[in-house]
Amino acid sequence: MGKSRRKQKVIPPPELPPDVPEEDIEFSDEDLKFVKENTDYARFVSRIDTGAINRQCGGKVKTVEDKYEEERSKKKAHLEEKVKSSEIQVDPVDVLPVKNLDGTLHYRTVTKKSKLAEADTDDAEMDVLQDENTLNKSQRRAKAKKSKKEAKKQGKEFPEEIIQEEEETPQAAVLAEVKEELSAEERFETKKNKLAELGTELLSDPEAHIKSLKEMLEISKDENTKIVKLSLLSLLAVFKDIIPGYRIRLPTEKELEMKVSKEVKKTRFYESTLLNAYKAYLNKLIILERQTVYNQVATRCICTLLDAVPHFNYRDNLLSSVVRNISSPDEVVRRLCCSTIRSLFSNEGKHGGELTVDAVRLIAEHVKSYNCQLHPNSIEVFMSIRFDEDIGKRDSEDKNLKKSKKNNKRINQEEQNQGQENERKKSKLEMMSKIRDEVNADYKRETYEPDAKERRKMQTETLSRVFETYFRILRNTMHSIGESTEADTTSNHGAFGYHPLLAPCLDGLAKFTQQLDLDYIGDLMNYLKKLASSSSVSNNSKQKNSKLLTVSERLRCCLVAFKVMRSNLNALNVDLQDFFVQLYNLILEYRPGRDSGEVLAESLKIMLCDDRHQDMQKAAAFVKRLATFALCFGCAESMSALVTLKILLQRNIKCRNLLENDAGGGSVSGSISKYQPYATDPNLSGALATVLWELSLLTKHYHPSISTMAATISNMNTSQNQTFLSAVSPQQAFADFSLERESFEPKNETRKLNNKRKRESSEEAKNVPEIDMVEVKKKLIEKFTIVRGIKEDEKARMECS
Amino acid sequence: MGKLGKKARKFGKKNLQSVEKRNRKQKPFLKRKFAKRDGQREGKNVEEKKKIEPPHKKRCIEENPWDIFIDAVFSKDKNEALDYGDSDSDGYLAEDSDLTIAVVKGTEGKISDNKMSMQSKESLSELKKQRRKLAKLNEKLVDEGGSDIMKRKVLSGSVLSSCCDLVDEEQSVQALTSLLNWYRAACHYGQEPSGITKPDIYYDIEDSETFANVMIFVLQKADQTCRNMLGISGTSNKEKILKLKNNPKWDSVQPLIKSFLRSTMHLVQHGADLEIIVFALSQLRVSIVFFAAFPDLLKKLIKISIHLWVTGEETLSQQTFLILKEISMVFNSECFDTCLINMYKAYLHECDIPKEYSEQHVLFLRYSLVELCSRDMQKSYTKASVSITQLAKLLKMALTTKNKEAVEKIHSGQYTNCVDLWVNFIAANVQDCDLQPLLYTLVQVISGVAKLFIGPRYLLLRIKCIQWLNQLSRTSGIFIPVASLVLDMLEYNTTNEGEKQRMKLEAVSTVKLPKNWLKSQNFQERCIFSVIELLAGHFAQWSFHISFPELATIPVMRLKKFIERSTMEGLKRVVKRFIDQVELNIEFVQRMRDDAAFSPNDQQSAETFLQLEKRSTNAPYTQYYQSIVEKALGTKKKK
Repeated sequence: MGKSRRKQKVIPPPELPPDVPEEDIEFSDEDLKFVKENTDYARFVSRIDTGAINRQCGGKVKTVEDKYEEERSKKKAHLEEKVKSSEIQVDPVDVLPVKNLDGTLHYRTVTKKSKLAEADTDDAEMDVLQDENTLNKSQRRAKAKKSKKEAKKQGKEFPEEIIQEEEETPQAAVLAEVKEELSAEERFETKKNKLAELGTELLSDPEAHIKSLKEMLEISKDENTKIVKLSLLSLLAVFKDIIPGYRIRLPTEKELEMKVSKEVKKTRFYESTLLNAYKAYLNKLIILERQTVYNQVATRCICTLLDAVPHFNYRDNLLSSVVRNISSPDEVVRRLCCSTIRSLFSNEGKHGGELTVDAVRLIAEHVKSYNCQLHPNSIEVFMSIRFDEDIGKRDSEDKNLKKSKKNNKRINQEEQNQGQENERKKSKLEMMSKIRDEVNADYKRETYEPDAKERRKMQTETLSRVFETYFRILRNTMHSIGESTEADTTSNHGAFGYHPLLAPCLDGLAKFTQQLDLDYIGDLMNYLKKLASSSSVSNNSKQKNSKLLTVSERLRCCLVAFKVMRSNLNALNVDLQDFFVQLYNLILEYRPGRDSGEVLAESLKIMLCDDRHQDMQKAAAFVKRLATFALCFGCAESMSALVTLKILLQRNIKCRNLLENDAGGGSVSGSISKYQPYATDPNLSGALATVLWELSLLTKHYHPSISTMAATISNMNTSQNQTFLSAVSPQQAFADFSLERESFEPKNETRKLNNKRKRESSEEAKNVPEIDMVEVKKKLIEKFTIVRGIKEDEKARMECS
Repeated sequence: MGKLGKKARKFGKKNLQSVEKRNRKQKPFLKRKFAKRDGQREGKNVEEKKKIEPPHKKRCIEENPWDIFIDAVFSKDKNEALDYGDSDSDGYLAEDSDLTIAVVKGTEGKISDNKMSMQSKESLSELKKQRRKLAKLNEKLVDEGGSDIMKRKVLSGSVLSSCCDLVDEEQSVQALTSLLNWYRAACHYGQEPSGITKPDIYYDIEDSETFANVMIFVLQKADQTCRNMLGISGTSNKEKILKLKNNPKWDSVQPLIKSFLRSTMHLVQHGADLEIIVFALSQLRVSIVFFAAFPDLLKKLIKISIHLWVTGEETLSQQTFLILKEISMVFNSECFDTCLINMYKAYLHECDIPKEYSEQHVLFLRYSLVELCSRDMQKSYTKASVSITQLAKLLKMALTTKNKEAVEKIHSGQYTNCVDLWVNFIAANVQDCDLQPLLYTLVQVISGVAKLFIGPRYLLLRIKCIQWLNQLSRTSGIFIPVASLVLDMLEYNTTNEGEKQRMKLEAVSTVKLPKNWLKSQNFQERCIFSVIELLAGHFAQWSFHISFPELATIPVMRLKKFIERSTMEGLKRVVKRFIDQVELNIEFVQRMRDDAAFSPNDQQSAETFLQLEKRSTNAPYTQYYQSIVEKALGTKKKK
């Protein structure tokens, strides 16, 4: 290959090649051969505008002005010429000359002639290039690609040459193999490049290249998994970019018959091609998604598409496939699906809320068909749904606003007397609010809003689906507990544990209690009651029943029940007594490692701390039990129990009798005169008859905070009505005192420590046995004889030798 | 390393910080080399685990758990503490004519010392072989040198006795000098090429009786004689010795003392027989005060002693510990830290090496370390605090990140033994000093460890944790709730009735139990017995406390449930008996409590409640607890 040619090809032009007289250039045989073989490549040489080059390079030193002028004229000439000749001349990047070491000035100019010019697709690009003199991004990318291709072409030449040379050798078979391998690699490369090329084209001008979509789809049918994955991902990128912001409706036959302008035809063609390609792509994705190899990639594509263009055609297909994968055993896939659905729920504006309904419906069906044996994540997504209570209430709200404004005005009038400064302020405020109203009104008019009625309808359906699912799960759990005694324990539980959906279901119920219809609450409470007490019923059976609910789950049931009641303002006449009984017993069944302490702390907070009116008997029972509890468990549990205990004592003055050892304490003790520590019903425990002796031991607790807490509690006064309530909640206490939070920094105070234990030295040697002098002497003698013997032996040996 | 090297080092430490830094970096390699040889000495290929890199003061959470070293916390302080100089002379004392000047024979000293250090690193089993080789070499050299130049001084029994008399009666310096020279020869007997290095005089000993006598006499009397010469009587401290330098007699006696100390140390280092070393050490202990004048020798002594303390047998270990204790008491200001730190490190290093029957030895090491710590609370308090913080850091990392390496490091022998050490330290001293902050952190660390390792496979670790907590609680009188930790072990019963096997109770030194162990009947028994034992210990402490009934409520309930559930009759009976005892005690306390006239907030009255009964040992629960303890000891012995 010619040396000079290669140098000239470099795009930011370097200095010109050194001025070598033509005679001095030596051509190697190889070069000659190459040129002969590839005459096409060298064709440009014959067409070089030598005159121009000489003018450029060989000329004398010119002033800057001259230079400019010349450039301009040259540019003009080139613009005219360029169509005819494939030679390109890039403008000098730097107009200013460069001074060489020897003092001569060089102008950076470059004539660009390369094989690029011969590529057929280049013409358009070159035009742009010459017009703008700079490369825009996409072109640069394209060019990089092309140069890569070239490099490959060159690379290809070598093996071919080798093969030609050695064709007759016996290693032909091996070579053929090598060739095959190489070609496979090449094919992979070309396909990759092709994909990239098509993709960039599509992105740069979708309308013109819409047909390339089909080509890309063709590539995705490749056998190579890598290629397929790549093609899927690049198609994803393309579609994400070119899908319009509206749904495409294909023209009806009637419309097709009508005569339309060229523009419309073009658009119609574009849209139909896009839609067909999209459809084919989706089909492909949905088929591939079922194959394990492509599962992740395909799911990623589907999720991204659903997230990005939820308004577009065929979204239902996307949605159903996402929901199908929502409980996938593959962690990555599951995460993707869940987050997609969550974003669907939280960005309802993108699809007008329709997809929410569909998604919830699909999930509900999914849960039903899998008999509630799914991964908890699949239900957790419901937590992201937002239920807007104000739909359709806007008008009434506005009215309210006005009313209040009137009120304000009235107040204003009353206050007018108070001085003019005030008035000025008020008027300013009024003006501001007026402007704000106007802006709001304008905004409302502009934004697209679906019909309130429609939305309300959708929301109702969503709600009913969600609750349907929740109730199904509850019922399923109940059922499984009920049958557990007879059914074999090894029945299909899947990989998700025994009641995988119960926990998120309870969480969801707790969150959406306000939306719950009052009619259902009765049933719900019944369910919860049964679930909460489930294990105590079947506990008697000796068979170990792992299907039972765990302590955490039962605590959660109690919690939900309380939350439901609380959010409905205790409007219902439901007896919560059973739940208290459950909690009273559950406290004893708690195990630190196994059960979640956070749930326990939360239930202490909700059920005991927040409850205003408590039966004295019950409160006392809980106080006693919590104190006992605090004696047996770690700091975090103890602290949350003590905090609850303190709050209970502050609320119930009479319970403070527990703090005093009254000789005649029976006065308040009620019907049961003796405390029953193992009672299961708080009302029957007779706790009022006892004294909180636990505090005495707790003040000796190794944790300073617990010990001070116990001390403060024991010093609470019976007579005084302390209304002050501590701000710390049991949950907070639990979190603060858990070991994970512990800083483990010993307070490094400088403390004086006295060394009291200076024992006398005589004492020290006591435990050391006396040294037997005779033995020592014997050993010494022995040693000496041994060593002496050795020595003599050596000496004798030395002499012998 | 020569004298120049030492000076240069000193200079560098003062003026060239970067050199110092580099030195510190290189130290691990040196150390490692040394430790490896040690390992060979043990005849085992011990995995090298010593980390020397000094920890930085502030560490962030993300750091690598391998960076938190339990054993190297103090390395920054005194790493070079034991680089003792070998440059001092160790030659014979000049006699007669130039008695007053102790001729420094540098070359000789160097050679002999080099050999010494060489030998010290060889394995004990090979020592004799080496010695033989050396002797061979000596013979050759002697032959070459020619015997006519040599002036042989042979010590015979009669000479010895007359010398001894002179020393005894007249405190003759000359006689002592020659005795010491012979003593030196005796100490180096068979090891030193005495022929070539000092050709003019060659000390020899006639027979074994004399050999033994000179050794014993010098060891027993040298110290006292020197004292008499210097005019010190009774106890003397370090300052007194240092003051002696101004004493005119000092110049004459100093070389004698030095020779005596050196020779004895050589004997300790190379003496083959345990009894001889022990005897030499016991005599050396008396003269420790004299080391004040020879700091280099002192460092060397510390090093030797620590090595013997860690590796030696029972009596030897005890003797060396006495030496170390003496040193740290006499030279409190300079050497206490050095001793403590090096002993601490050696202890942890020893814990890492799994050895058969090492339990007793580790126990002794721990006790002696605790005893040493108790000597200077102020200093050991800071050490303990640093070490415990390090433990806590590692634990916190393991708890928050569940980092596998950190977790592994925690259930290593090093970690548990370190915790054990500080538990014992606190238990020993909590009565006298205010160790509340240390105690609190340590309790948190232990509960963290118990929380980190859940599950039956870590049964032994959990038992250990609870034992620590019980010990701390018992000694400090504070309340540490262990009930929930103990009761968790009840749930470890995973076996059904069918699979009952007997597994051999062996190889339980590993922290993690093998899986097949879990199904064995022994495991079940071990679980239940441990529960009873630990709970009984916990209850015994509070059995006369006014809150006892409440304390026992939940555990008793849990145990009752276990009885309902369990199918093993033998275990059920044991548990039943325990419950009965506890309930009896509950009733007793409740009865007494009903008569009490004070309220829970009256701490003082609560303290005195039932104290009288507590002292008498014939309360039923106390007796029951005693029987349990004895039984536990019995089963342990059986093993």
